[in-house]
Amino acid sequence: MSQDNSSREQWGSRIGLILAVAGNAIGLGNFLRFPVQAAQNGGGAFMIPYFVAFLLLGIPLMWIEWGIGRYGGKFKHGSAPGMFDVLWNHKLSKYLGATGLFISLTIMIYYTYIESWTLGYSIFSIFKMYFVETPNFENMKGFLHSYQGIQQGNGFDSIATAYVIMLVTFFINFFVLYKGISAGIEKLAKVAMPLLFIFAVILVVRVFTLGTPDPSKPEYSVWNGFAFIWNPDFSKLNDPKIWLAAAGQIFFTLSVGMGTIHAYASYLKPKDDIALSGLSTAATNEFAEVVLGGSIAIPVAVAFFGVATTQEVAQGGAFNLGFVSMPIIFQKLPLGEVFGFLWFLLLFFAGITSSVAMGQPIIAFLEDEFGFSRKKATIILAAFVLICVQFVVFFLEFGFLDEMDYWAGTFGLVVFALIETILFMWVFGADKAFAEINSGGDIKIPVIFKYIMKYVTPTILLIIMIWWLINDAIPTLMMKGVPDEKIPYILGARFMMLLILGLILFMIHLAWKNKQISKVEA
Amino acid sequence: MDLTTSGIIFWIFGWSVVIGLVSFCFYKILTNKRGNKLEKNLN
Repeated sequence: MSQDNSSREQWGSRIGLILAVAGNAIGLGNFLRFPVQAAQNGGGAFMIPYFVAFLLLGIPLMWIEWGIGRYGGKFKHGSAPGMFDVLWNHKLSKYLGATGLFISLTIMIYYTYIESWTLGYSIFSIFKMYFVETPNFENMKGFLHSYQGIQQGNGFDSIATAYVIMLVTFFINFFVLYKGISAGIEKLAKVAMPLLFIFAVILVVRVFTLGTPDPSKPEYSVWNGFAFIWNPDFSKLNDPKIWLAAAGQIFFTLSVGMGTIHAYASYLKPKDDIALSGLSTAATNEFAEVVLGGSIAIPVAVAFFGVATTQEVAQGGAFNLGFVSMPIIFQKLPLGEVFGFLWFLLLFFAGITSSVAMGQPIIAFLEDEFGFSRKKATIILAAFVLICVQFVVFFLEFGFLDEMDYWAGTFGLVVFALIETILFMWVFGADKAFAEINSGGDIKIPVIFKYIMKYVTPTILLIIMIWWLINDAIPTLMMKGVPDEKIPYILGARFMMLLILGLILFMIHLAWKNKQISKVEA
Repeated sequence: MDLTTSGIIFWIFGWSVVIGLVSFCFYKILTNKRGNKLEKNLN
């Protein structure tokens, strides 16, 4: 196998690479999921398990994925099957890598649709399209549902607008992917990420200067919002669920376990630094999450709705907070249309820098293992995703998206992270793996991390996986509490996912078979 | 629900850890000889 990586694309600059990987990590969850998790799981005390998980799970996994990616890139592999094949010389290893392709592809199918809502809402904000005389949860939910085509008459008569905006989002995504690593993904990151941070800082400053919007309700203040997030409840630290919630949040926020970081890192050269770049990526993501994400949605919700209602909103989930509560708030703020525009465009930038990352592993797989041109690989991926997303768009109300999100976007991540950690730290070998991560490094990673990556990280992953398996996966698999009318759609989502996985496995088989034939012929 | 002293301490703690880490990383990137360059640009 060749170790000459020079014919593959390259990143243009280090900051561009860090912004692109940070863009992959910074997603809607930083601004919507984190504050909800913190508020629900002990407030300030949540930061203790959160930072412990960051140290023992987040940073080690980040380094593992950068390490596997750059190592795979040496052998011209930009996706998990090829990378696993060079880590473990066994005929099964490449098939284990199918998990990485399956997860990124499946998430991309539904994530791009969600991302298109943020683009739509940024337009609706600036044109005040959801603005009504008396904004409340009912009419904002109605607006969202009419936009999604779930009900009619609260703003939209059909799903046509959502569909067109989805197509626009798709076009932007695949145009960026078609342009390539440096001219597409890196350029996008260099524009979108600084804008995201500027918009977020503007919004944070606005939140800090809100005070008490309604003087007749002094308890509805932004400071009480910060109290809701930061006042510690130490009693919660005895609850293992809080520690698992923190580990889960770290896991989701860093976008590890998806195969995307590997793909980006594969375009590095063998002596490029990954130790400092990996840490910088994780740190940038944490800044976006803890400092910016924690200072917008929840504090502003408490300032307008009070703690009790915000608790209800938070329990309703991240979409409820982002697409129902925030539009009400923007209607009550002077220049709310501008702040709404900034908020949703910020979410769109967070989304698109993540979704292009999800497309890259499959494109790299088609390019590296089948010799396809980038154009051909992008067209194939675009066509496939466009076909699959139809089911997500039209069966949204029947839980099609939720089912995909659970198996690929939640449970699958832990499975893949566990596989890659075991392969890299145990099969490839902890000494070799640690040396690989440190090679060319601008910082020296403390040796203790070798042991953390070998023993602690996989143990935590195993605990999370078993916990989720017992508490969530089995009930979800058995469709406990699912209304009868949704069951055919849930089964349909599962069938589609199995089809995707089967197709990926078949393509891996085909790619390696072709390689063997070429080798014999040569 | 008022912001308590321990709430302020945790708030400062959370922000300090993150801002400290980001500052450390970007200081290291900008001050080492490689700077913003990747391997291909070094020669």
